Amino acid sequence: MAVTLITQEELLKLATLSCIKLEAHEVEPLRESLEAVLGYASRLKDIAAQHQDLHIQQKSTNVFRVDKATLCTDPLVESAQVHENNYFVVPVIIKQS
Amino acid sequence: MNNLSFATIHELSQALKDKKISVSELISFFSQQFSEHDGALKSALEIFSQESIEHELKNASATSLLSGIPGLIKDNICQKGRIASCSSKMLENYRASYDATAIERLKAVGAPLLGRANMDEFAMGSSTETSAFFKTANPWDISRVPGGSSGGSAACVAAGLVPWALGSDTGGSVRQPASFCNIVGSKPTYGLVSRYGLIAYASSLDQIGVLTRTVHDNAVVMSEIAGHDERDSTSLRVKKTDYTQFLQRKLPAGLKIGVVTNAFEAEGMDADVVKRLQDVLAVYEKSGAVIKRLSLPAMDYGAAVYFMVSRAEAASNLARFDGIRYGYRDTDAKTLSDVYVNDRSHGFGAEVKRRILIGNYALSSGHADAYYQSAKTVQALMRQQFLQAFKEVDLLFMPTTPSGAFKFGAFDNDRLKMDLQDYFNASANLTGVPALSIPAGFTSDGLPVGFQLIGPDLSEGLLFNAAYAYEQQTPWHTMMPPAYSSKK
Repeated sequence: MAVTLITQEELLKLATLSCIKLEAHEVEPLRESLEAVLGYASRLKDIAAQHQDLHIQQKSTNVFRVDKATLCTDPLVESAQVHENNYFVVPVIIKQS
Repeated sequence: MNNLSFATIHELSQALKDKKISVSELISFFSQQFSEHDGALKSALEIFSQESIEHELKNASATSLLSGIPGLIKDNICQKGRIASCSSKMLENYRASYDATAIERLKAVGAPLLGRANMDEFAMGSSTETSAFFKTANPWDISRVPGGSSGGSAACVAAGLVPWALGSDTGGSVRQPASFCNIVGSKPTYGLVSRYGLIAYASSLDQIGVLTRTVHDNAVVMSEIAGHDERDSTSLRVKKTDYTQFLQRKLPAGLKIGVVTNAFEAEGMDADVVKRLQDVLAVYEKSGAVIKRLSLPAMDYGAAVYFMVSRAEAASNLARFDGIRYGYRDTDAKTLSDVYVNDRSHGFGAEVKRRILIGNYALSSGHADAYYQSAKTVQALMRQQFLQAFKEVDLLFMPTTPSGAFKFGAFDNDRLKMDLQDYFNASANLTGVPALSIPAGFTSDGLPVGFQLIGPDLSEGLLFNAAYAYEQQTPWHTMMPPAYSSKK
């Protein structure tokens, strides 16, 4: 019998962590789809175990630069669908007593 | 130049120089191509007004062959003041507040940017079917996909609506649609073209690439956008290069081309495609290339590695989309948590959600070692084998795709089967090396076939040379999709 790599419960937990709400009818088809991809990717474990000390030989080095503001905040705030007085607006989190 | 819509960049530039046509007339001509001929293709999400396009050229210097030659930009590359939607409902109304470095460089030489090209949502797909807005068709057969994720960019260039377009290539998203549409697609060395202003899918793999009908045109555009940029922390310290200087009709003496045999033995390889690629090798052999056969066994794990690395990075990159600072916002949400959940649930399409969930699974405690870390180790093995291969040969040769373009919906019931086609392209992204897809002829059904040349780091000059030498001996780049060949 094939091993189940991801259960519906695990998928729902994963969705919660990802801030994604799944409709009931989406859950099982999505679980099967993830199961197929994870099953396929499982082949990596054995080959990786044979090459544990291997690390990517990168040709690039980190590029550093002076961290200076180049964009005015106004147009950035205006990108938000809900904004007020140059602030982003979110629902009230803590109410004043 | 009989047909302006299929003219090369060089021909159009000459026409401008000879004052046979003006830049304004070229912009008007190509904008009209979209209004008259994009109805069945749906390659563009938006064509900008002539006035706004010309306004962007005001401070440009006409110093390049590309000056005055219009192009279309994939909708995940930021153009200041324009919408950058990534073909997602999430960013449907988002306007970029700055230019990507590639865009800045194109504007500086006066390349008119006509509009925004359709794509798979957030570049996640191989068919442009996951766009939240509409599907783009293949100009060679409109019942088939143009490939993806840069399908809009490929379709419009192939149909002669515009001479060049930018795409982005994370696991083949420039090369695969180029192959499906009989055009040239380039994926540069990782770090050669700045990612500043390219909306991230998988940051360690993403590169902006170029789609054109000829190798020369591709080299012209690549020459303008490549080069160091301090705003991209992974940008390579390389000087601006004119890649057209490498275009020779002759191959370098003794050029060694390594045929990747395991790629030809991959499941699903179409016999027609194999035959076309054998014809390509015969041309190279006749031109003096030494053909060697070699195997890259770790490449057979490439699709699996790509699934894990790209999805993990996508899950991290797309965590920023919460609807508060930009993007889709459910204004009825009562709590902050509801804002996050509702915005992401309604803003992202099914494929994007699927990849986020796989990515978060691969990164989660208890699974990260088995999936993400294993993938990174095998990725290192792949690069090691590629670097070893480049000690024996100058370039690698393999298919770009296992078959011609497929029908819409062909993989609706088996997404994994479609994703497995990433096998042919993802290796170049995972190893960071440059690759080109070049037209190789047609299947017996009349569908375009492409072949792929892959070189060592920063071998773009050699790649363009080898591709150009082949192109000059074959007619494929002169062939136009029948439904679009007679338009003026």
